[in-house]
Amino acid sequence: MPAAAIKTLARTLVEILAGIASEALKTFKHMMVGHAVDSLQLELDELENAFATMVFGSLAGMPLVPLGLALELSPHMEVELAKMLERHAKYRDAISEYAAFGG
Amino acid sequence: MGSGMAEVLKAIPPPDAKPHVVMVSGKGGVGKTTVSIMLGLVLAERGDTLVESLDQAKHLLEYLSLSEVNREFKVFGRLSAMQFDTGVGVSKLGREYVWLMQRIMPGLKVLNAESVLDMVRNAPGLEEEVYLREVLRLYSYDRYDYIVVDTPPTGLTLRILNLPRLYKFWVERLISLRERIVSLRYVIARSLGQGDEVLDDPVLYKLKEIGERYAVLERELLSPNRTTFVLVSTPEPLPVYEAEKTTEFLKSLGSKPGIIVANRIIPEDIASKLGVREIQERALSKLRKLDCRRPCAMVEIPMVDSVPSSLDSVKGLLSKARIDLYS
Repeated sequence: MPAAAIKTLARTLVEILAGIASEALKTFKHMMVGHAVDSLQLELDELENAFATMVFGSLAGMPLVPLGLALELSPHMEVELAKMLERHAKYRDAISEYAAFGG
Repeated sequence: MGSGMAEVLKAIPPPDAKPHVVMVSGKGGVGKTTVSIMLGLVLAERGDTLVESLDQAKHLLEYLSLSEVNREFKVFGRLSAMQFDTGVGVSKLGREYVWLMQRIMPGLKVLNAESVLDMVRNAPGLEEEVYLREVLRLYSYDRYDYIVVDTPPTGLTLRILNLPRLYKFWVERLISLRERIVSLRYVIARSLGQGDEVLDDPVLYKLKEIGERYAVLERELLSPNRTTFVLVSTPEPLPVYEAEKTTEFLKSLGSKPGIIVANRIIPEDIASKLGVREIQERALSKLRKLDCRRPCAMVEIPMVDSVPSSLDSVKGLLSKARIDLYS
């Protein structure tokens, strides 16, 4: 095979490989963006849900537990309370910020 | 119509279990504290009696010259009195909560523990909670045969009386949810080959304990053998309207007042001169028609020259009261 033909073949192969790599990178990028958006979407859904629960909970048949009941149960729910606060902290502390406006 | 306040005892059953609680309710300023002391004096003839005021206007302190709140004082014979102050209870509950938060979030200690405490202290519903705990305590306070409770003005009293029912509602739902959580934990633990310790859930035990406590309180509040509701009103349209509303509310809970008190009745000739005779008659007629349990005592106390403000002046009113018993 003449050298020129080999060169052309090699260039074509490189172009094909570069195209594949570029497509793979695009797909990978797309996947990464999609994954990041999914995480953000999950966070957004949680925040929207928390916000709606705080605002409309009582209208949706979820009136707030009487404060005294919550206080009496709280010593037995230390682990759950800590988990809840950690979860709220993860979501940019929105609920804590909401609850702390009077503090 | 009988004369003298002692007749009213016929409308209060002898204590089935100690103590029998007499809840004196009415619009602010109608003379609840005066009537509470009058009833206390009469009941002290029959057994050891405590008059406790939950009204934060704290008239009882002045009336009986009590030197401090939240402490019982011997007043006369077998009668003792105490002015309850919500501030101490509210702060105690708030501090318990802040202590717990500080354990979970140590940073809070240096940040804003005081503002959290302040927020909890002023949180809606906490004061009612403290009242409810005090009512619970009184029902199990068997040092006395009778406890006369001078309640806060009507609106707050009705909310407090409704709380056991509200608590029961919540506790029942929380128990059902918690049982699902516990059974789910059990399934997971078994799948992982772990023991069944998860079935011992302190929250579930606590919920059941709270539920039982409020179910008992609700039963006691509604039992004629444990509780007598006394409605106090002056013969004027608004206090009578509140007495009617309170009667309706008690009926919705499954109870009725046992004693109706019409306080500060103006003598007919003076009422005529003042042009209020008709209004007074109409108000008295409405009070007499209130749905009352049997035997029911209708107590009428005349207006006196000076506002009662001491134990002696209240004693002076005892012989002036007129009682009508319906059986």
